[in-house]
Amino acid sequence: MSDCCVSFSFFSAWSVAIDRNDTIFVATYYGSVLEWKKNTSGEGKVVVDQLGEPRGISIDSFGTLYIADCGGDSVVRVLAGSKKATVIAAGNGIGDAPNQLYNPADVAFDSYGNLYVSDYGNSRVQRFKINLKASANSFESSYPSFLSMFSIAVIFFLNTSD
Amino acid sequence: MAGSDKISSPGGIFIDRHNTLFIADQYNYRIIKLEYGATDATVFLDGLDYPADLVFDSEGTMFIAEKESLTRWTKDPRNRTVLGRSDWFISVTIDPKQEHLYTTEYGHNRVKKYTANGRAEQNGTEVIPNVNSRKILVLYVCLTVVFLSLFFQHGVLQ
Repeated sequence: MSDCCVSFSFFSAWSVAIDRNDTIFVATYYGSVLEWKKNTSGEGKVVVDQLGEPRGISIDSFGTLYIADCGGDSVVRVLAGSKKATVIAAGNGIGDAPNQLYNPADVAFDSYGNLYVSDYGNSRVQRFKINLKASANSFESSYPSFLSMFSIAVIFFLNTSD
Repeated sequence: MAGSDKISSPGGIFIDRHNTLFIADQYNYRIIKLEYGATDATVFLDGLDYPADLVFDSEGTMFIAEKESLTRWTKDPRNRTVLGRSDWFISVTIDPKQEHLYTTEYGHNRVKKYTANGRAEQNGTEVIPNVNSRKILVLYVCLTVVFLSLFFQHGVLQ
């Protein structure tokens, strides 16, 4: 079972989100989210970079991007037109505590605005209630020893506080 | 889920309009489903080939990025159609108009597009042939050159 932050090839496109204008957003292995306007395919425009390793990305109807940051063990949000990524869930180092993630792979929302995260490294899916006023947290990636992957799949109900 | 069944290193997740959570339990070759408010998840579809990601359209048609096949599953009955092939799909996304699927693959720096309701297998279109920034490539080449020259210098001084 490979760590999701290890890629087959050094450069890879991880995942894609499309907005209602057919703008394509791509999360790349080397830490950037790039965008291409409809019908363009040359050099992508940097939306955000210096993420740990953006993996799954999701976009809502307002054009806000939500990114499972595999290398940062967090979920970040980028408002439409912004270049600033704000941590909205976890980002408290690698671990399996309720406020931690380990190599998150994907994000999704339900119609109540709850955030679900595919927590690849902890073999679970987590649910977070997002604080709408989530403030910018600085975080550092730490890579402790390899943790055992086997745990029961449960859904945790959480209130995040910043 | 029955017994002590567990998910293992989940890949993509999707939530449909009924707030049902679907999980690509890739290393167990299956899709797991958890209805909103339920405490037990169930196996939705199994016997798959390392399903890494999935999406549904608004009509309930499911699309799965299996390892070597991008597959479409109609709602009722669940019939499987192969839309595209790869060495190893990583992800699949559907556009808001629900017309096209976009995929990424291991070992390829590209984004490909497929017609969601295509009847037959497609080659797909490379909408972004190369995701990599030229600046990043130049940066890495420069770093390699610097590293090699330091290494060489050290070797000469010895």
